[in-house]
Amino acid sequence: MNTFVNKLLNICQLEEAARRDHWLNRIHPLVKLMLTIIYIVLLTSVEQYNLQRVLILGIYPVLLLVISDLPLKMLLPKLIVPSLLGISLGLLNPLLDPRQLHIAEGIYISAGWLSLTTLFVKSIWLVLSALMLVVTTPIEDIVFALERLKVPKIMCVQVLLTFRYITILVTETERIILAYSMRSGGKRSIDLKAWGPLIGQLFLSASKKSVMLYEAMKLRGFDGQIRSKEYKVKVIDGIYMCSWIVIFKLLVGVW
Amino acid sequence: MHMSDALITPAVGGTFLAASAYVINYSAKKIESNVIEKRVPYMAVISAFVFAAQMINFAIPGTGSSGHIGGGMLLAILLGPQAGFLSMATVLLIQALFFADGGLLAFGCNLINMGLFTCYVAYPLIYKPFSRGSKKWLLVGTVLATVIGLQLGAFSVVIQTIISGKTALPFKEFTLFMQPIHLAIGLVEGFITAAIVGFLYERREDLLFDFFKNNSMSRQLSPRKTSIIVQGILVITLIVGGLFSQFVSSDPDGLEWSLEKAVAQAETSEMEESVTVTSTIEMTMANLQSKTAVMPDYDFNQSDDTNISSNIGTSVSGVIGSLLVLSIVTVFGIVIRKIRF
Repeated sequence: MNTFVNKLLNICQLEEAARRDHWLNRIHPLVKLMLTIIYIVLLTSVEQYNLQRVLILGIYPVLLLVISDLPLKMLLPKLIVPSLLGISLGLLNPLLDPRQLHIAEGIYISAGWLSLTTLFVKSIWLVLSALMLVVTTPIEDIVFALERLKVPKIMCVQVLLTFRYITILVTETERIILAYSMRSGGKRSIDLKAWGPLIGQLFLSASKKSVMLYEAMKLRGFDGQIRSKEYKVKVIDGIYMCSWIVIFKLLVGVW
Repeated sequence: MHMSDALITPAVGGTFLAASAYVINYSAKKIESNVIEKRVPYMAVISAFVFAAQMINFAIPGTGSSGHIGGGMLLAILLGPQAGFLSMATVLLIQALFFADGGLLAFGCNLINMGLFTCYVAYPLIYKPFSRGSKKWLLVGTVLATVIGLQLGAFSVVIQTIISGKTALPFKEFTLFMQPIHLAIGLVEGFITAAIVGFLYERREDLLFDFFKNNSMSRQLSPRKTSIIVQGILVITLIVGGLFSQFVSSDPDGLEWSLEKAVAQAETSEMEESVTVTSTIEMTMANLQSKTAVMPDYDFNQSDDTNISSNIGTSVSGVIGSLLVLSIVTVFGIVIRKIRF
């Protein structure tokens, strides 16, 4: 059952952090989203053997983590496992790329290990930068930013509603699995004959919920759209954006 | 099967993001505006359902292991291709943002791999023709569509990984590793999806998208539509097969690849000795990278003289490779539009 509990705990913790009263959380969501995208493009552009540049670029997520006052302990479990999973295709690099690279006078290093290390560090920074976006920006604000980036409204509404409903359905799934487990002598996996009925029932229940949800929303004036809070770009947002772009430029000399 | 940001280049990620943005817009427009109001809550809840269902482990008989659903095919069957694709996009975006499964740059790759091939290829070309038969054929179609959707997705992962060149995986071996594994995964997922579809067929067949429409109209496939489907499959097979063989023939096999690596290593060592000791680490690495590119045939500029020309060649080859995949996606789109499901 840990998977379910952890998933719920993850969502709750991230959302709680995003709703704190912190100056970083008050930055315009579009600015934060754009900076995250720029950073991701910048970091993924770095060559696979350029560990030094990848390390230097870690300044962005690490500095955000420090500024945000969030405990590393909270983010660490969300960071390491996804980072490792994210580079699974590169795990064979040390075996497939055994060349020795000359990095300094008399010092050689395995190309495969170097590229794997670079991938791993890169993966950590990428996951951390995405995490820093969601721990400083509530889901409604992210959806607002997506709308500004011309993502179709139907998808924006869907993201918002799905996010809200995940918690409810995950809780329900946990209950069903727990009941199954207790009746089947502690089995954690669902047997073949129960595949259809068990998840089918979950679907029927979800389907009923969607009707109730629609009716409840309709009674409150739902017309297919959810109006998000309007944000105005402030001076601090401009300063924040420009500062980071200058820092990126200084770090890599891209421009 | 999630691609992560760390494994792709901006050119590959950007191209697939653009392709997926086009399909998202197409899907959003296809869902008629007057039904959005009713369908959005349903789509959202079903997306959340798939998200929750992904966490359930299903015991695989006789193996002692378990599997879970991916959800793309199930979403298409429950919601239809357009809404299914949008729902898959939603699930993947939430996973990328909140669970670090995939990433923002890899979002397009993942959506094409897990959403497009299931909702816009396997669903109309495999599942739909089968769904017009009896329950048995409906279930066979579900399993087949899931397997084929996953196979195409897995092959797309291989292409994206190789074009990006962030790993040292050789194309042929990687393909031979990925496809059989995903065949097994696809079969398990296919049977789980079929079990759910079978259950709903018995209890609430009206909840299966298109079921009511197909049966109430007692519509059989017209010869023209059958012909279009066959032609579509042929075109796709030719394109995918042609692309596949092109890659296979242009890349060396495992032994040749190892030999090439060894030669490249020897050349590199000689070159390094001749170059001044004061050359920077960055320049040496860039040189090595250009010498040992995974797909050297895709490098237009074969000159060994400058790092710049080699790098441009590599970038161009990345873009061209991405455009090739985009072309396949576009052809799929044209075929699907012709079918008018």
